[in-house]
Formats: sequence, C-alpha cells, structure tokens
Amino acid sequence: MNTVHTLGPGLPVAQHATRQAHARAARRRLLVYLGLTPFVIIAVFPVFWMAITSFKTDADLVNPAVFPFWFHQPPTLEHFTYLFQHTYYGDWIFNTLTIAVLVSIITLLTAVPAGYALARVALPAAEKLGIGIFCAYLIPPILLFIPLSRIVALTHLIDTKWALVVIYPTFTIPFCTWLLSGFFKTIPAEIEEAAQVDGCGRLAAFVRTVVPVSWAGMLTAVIFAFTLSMQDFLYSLAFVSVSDQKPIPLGVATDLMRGDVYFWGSLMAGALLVGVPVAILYSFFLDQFITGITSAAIK
Amino acid sequence: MARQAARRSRARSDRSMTRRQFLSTASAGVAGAALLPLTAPWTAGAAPAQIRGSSLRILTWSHFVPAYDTAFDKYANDWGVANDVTVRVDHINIDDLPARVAAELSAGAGHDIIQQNGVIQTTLYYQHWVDVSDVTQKLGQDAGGWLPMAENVAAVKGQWYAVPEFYIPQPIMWRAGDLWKQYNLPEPTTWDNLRTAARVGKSKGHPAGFAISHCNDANHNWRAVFYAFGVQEADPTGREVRWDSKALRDAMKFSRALWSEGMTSEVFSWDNVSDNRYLDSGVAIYIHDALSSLRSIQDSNPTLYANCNVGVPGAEPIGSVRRAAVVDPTILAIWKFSKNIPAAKAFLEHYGADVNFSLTASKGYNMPYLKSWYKKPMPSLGSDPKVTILQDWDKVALVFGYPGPATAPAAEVLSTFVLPDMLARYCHSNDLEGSIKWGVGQIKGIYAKYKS
Repeated sequence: MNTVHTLGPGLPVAQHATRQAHARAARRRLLVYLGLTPFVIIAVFPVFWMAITSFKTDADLVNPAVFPFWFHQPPTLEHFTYLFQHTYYGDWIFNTLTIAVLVSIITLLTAVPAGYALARVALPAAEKLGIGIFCAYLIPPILLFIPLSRIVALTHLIDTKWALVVIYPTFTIPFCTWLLSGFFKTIPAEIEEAAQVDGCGRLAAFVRTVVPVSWAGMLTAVIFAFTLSMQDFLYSLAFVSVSDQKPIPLGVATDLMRGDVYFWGSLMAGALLVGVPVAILYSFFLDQFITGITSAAIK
Repeated sequence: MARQAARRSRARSDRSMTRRQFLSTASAGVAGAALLPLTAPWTAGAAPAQIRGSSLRILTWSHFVPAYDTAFDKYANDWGVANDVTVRVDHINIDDLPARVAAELSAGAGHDIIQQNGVIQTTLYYQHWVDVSDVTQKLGQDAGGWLPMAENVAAVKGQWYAVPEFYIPQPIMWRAGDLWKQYNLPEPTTWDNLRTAARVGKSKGHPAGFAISHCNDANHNWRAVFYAFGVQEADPTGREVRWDSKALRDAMKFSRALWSEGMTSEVFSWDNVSDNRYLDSGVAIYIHDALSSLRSIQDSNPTLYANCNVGVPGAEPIGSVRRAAVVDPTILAIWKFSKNIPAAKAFLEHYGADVNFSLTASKGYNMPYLKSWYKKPMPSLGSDPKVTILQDWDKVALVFGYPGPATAPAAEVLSTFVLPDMLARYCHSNDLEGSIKWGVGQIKGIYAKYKS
C-alpha cells in the first residue's frame, strides 16, 4: 500500500516539489529577464525614440516643458511626406539596396573560395595571410578614401552608385574571408575526403559536401556584407555627390541636415523606414547568424 | 516700290564712302575682332562660343535656407540654358565639404566649381585652383571694390584663386520683447551688459547659450568675444603666431565668467544645431548664431520670433578693445583639372555679380563681400525690420586668422577647435596659465608644421 506523504493538510510532497521547481524556474526566469532588461532598454530605446520622433510635430519635439517620451500633440505624417515629396528618398532606397545586394554577391563569390583556400588548401603562410587579410579590414576608411579616390577616377565611375559597388568589397571581402575561413575550419575534412574517394574532384567535393553544410557561415557573410554596405558614409561622401545616386546614409545627411538646421522628424522617419524592415528580415535568420559567427569565432 | 527706292539709296550710300571712312571702319572692325576674346561676352548674356554645348558641375553645400538651394539650382540651370551649357549642382552637408574636396583633388576628377564654407583652405589648395583674378577684378570694379576680408579668404600672394561668394553673419539673438523688459536689463551693446543679462537670466531660469565644444558655432562665437577683447591670431602676414598675449588672458577670464555666471554645463556638449533648439525651446535669454536659428522659429513660434531682436545697436557688442563679428566665409574655386574652365569662369562672373539674387533668395542670409551692395536699403535686409542691423555688418565683420589672412595653419587651428578646447580646459580647471600654455602650444605646433 502506497503512503502519501503530506507536508500540510492535503498537500502531497510531489505536488510541493513541483511547485518548488516551478517557483525556482520562475525565479530564474525573472532574474534572467531582470538581467536582460537594461540591455533591452539600451538596444530598443533608440528605435523607440526614432519611432516617436518620426510622428511628432516639431513644436512637440522641442518643447522642454513636457515629458519628452510621448506625444503631447496629435501624431503627424508630415515628416514622411517631406521625405518622399522633397527629397530623393525613393531613389536612395533603391540605390542602397542595389549596392548592398551587388556587394553581397561580389563578396560571397570572392570570400567563399578565398576563405576555403585559407582553411583547407595547404598554402604556404596561409595563417599569416589570413591575419594579413583581416588586418586590411582594420585600416580605417579615413586613411583609404584618398588613394581609393584615384582608383575610382580611373574607372570613370565617380559620382555614380557603381563606384560604391566597386569600393565596398575592399572592406567586405577581407572580413568575410576571415569569417568564412574560420567557419570552413569547423567542417570535418573527412566529408570532403569521402567525396573525393567516391570520385569527386576538389571543386565538386567542395560544392557537393562543404557548401550544403556552410549555409550558416555564408549567410553570416552576406549579412555582414549587406550591413556594412548599408551603413557606410565616408566612401559614399567621397565618391558620390549626385543626389539621385546617393545611398540612404549620405542622402539623409545631405538633404536633411543643413548645417545647424536638422530636420529631425524626417531624419528619424528615413531611418525608421529602412531600419525596421531590415531588422525584421534579419530576425528570420538569427539562428543561422549566431551559428555562423560563433563557429567562425572558435576556430 | 519703296523697297526698290531704299535699295537704290543704300547703293548710292555705299558708293559714296570715302577712303578715310573705309579705313576707319575697317580698323575698328579689326580692333574689335582682336579684342573679342579678351572681353567677357557672357556678361552681356551671350556665351563665348567655346563653352556652348559643354557641361559644368558645381559642388556646394546644403544651404541653411533650403529654399535657396532650389533657387540656386534653377538659377544655375537657367544660366546654362541661356548659354547652352548643361549645368548640374550637387549639394552636400557643410561639414563634409573638406573631405569631398580632398577626395576630388586626389582623384583629379569631380566638379568644375567647388565651394569652401567656414573652413577656408585657399592657402592649402591654391596651386590646384585656377587664377580667377580677372573675374574678381571685374566684379570688384563694377561694385565699388571688395571688403578687406574678401582678399583674406580668396587671395594668395596678391593673386585671387577663388571668388568670394558670401559670408554668414552670426549676430546676437536676444529676447528684447519679453525677458529684457521683464528683468529691466541694460541694452546689450557691450559684452559686459551681455554678461549681466546672462547672469540675471540664469537666476530666473533663462541662461544664455554659446557652445564650448567641437562645432562651428563655438569657433566663431568665442572668436567674436576674443577679438572684441583684442586677441590677435597672427601678424598681418599670417605667418607669426600672436595668440599669447594679455588680451588673451583678459578674454579667457571674461569668457569663463560669462559661462559660469550665465550659462549651464550643457554647452560643453553642444553641436551646431543645439543653440537653434535652445532658442526654439524658449529657454534662452540670448544666443549668438546665424539667421537660420531665427528663420526656423519664424513660422513655428511666431510669438518667440516677435520677441527676438537680431544684433545690437552698433551691430555687435563692444568688448574692452573693439566691436568684432566673426563670420563664416564662403568662396567658390575652379579646379585646374576642370575640363570646362571658361564656362566655370563665365558662371562665376555672372553669379558673383548677381548679389541681388543671392540676398533675396536667401532671405538676407548670404551677405555680400562687394562694397556697393551695402548702400541702404539693401535687398531683402532693408525691407525686413527684424534684420536691418545686418546692413552694417560690413563695418564689424572679420574672419578667422585675424588680423592676418585665413591661412592653412589658421584654418587648421579653426578646424581642430583649439580655441573652444582651451576655453573648456580653463572652465573646468580654473587654471588660466595652464590652459593657455596648452592652447598656444597646440597653435604654435600647427604653425610650425606649415613653416617646415
């Protein structure tokens, strides 16, 4: 006959243990969320500020007598209207996406074989070469834009968005090569060797065995290339001055910041319109991104 | 019948031409043909043949008055249509002009005409710019000459390498209509009176605000104070540093007192737009800024606009030595690598002479360097009581580097914000000699670099 132990009137021990476990889990979760809260606030606050500023009237925005983090006048769409009616914002979006997509493709086409070669092919001084490539990424653009401007002039692409398609890979390729090289090192060499035993050449083995298990790394490289292309300012400033050829970071800084007159509402609206969709898009690939970056980092 | 009679009469007239008449007519024709290339036909509205069908690219800032950009683009385009030149104007932020100019020089490609604004680097780039002395000479002759500071920003060793376009005045914007009356303050004709006003204003919750930070406003605001107290940056040639002086110590002491008594510490973090916002917020008792700050409240806050006065009697307040207004100059230069120098010169001559357009389209923001345009009433300024005082700005306007020209080292002292940094050090540490030693050391280092 089973005996039911109770701690109190009608409270089974198992039930109590379960409750304790739940309470522990809840406490743990609470602590985790409490720990995360400051980081979330820091991360989300600029987006929140951007969002409310986009819809605030100018008078509401600069009024020091009111609580600044909410609306005290009815929200307005005037900043969005200004963006599309008085600037080349539509062109800037198109240019930015065109540049980012093309740079990502160029980067991937270059960095994948380069990263693979550094990781797998027994090149002499491969490791030093890898470090050298990564160091090239660390040279600040402020030092490079002057000599690069000569190259851009030679290509006759100055003042077109295509200049940026040529220039951006100079910083996306080194970083992505280094990233992918680390990622490829995590893939067991045996799967390629098995494919080669089955009759594949090195290229076929790479395409049939390495590429299918490298999506996370390649996706990470694409995300980096895409993001770096979208956020550049200096190169676009140096090489593109024609309004309808500018990418967004340069366009908004040119047309919406006029010396000491800032069009805060439209600036924030411009950032919101591109920032939020891209953030949502990235969230779909978050797991692959984390896998890619952490795999590359441990090797 | 009448047409036949006229033809007969003309035939008789031709036959009756004497040899002397023939010779003098022919001589005049030959002389005219010889002089034709030396004249500037575009001034009469006709473009020289060599610029027809060509293209011209202009790089300029995003004007603080957005409507001016629209007007200028149309103006340039209209000139292009009239002269069969395809003109394109590109605008970028004022702070980004130096980087873009450096990139264009390195590339040897880009725009034909470039603007420099605030940070003038004529002495740095003049060897790469076209000599436009012929253009500036003509513009000066037609308009009573140039203000002295025009040569300071556009000429090197007597040759002009840029056309002075306009300058931006930075007057005191003070709350004459409300706070000044409420607190019974003295008229802000002197810096001492402004110090009193800031002290009283701060005690009532309305401090004054001048940036002491890395922004353009900090540079020209405090230079105006320093020059008023007798500070000189260099000798008249611009070669020898003259910062270290008793006047500098007086100016520093006054400036620190002005800040500590009448401003808050937020001015250490200000950018160029902060004082605009500060005025717009209704807190400031006064600021010292370009007209853009006033224009930005004209529609959004008409009551505040009505209560604000621009400038003070005598234009700028007087310090212990003089009145001084430090302005942001702008110039237009032509690259030597330009493929269309004649068109660029033609445009500069046309635009440089059209001060009426510049003043009117900018709502009085673009102040001319040409003397004759200061006859009252000036376009735009003369008809707006709020800004009529700016018609006297030619009497007080100075540029950085004073009393020398705006040389490359003076521009570097400006662009590296040595003055606001030196003052900020003094404000924080209360160590006058230590702050001056640091600042003057920085300045001497910069000048020495250009001498070697």
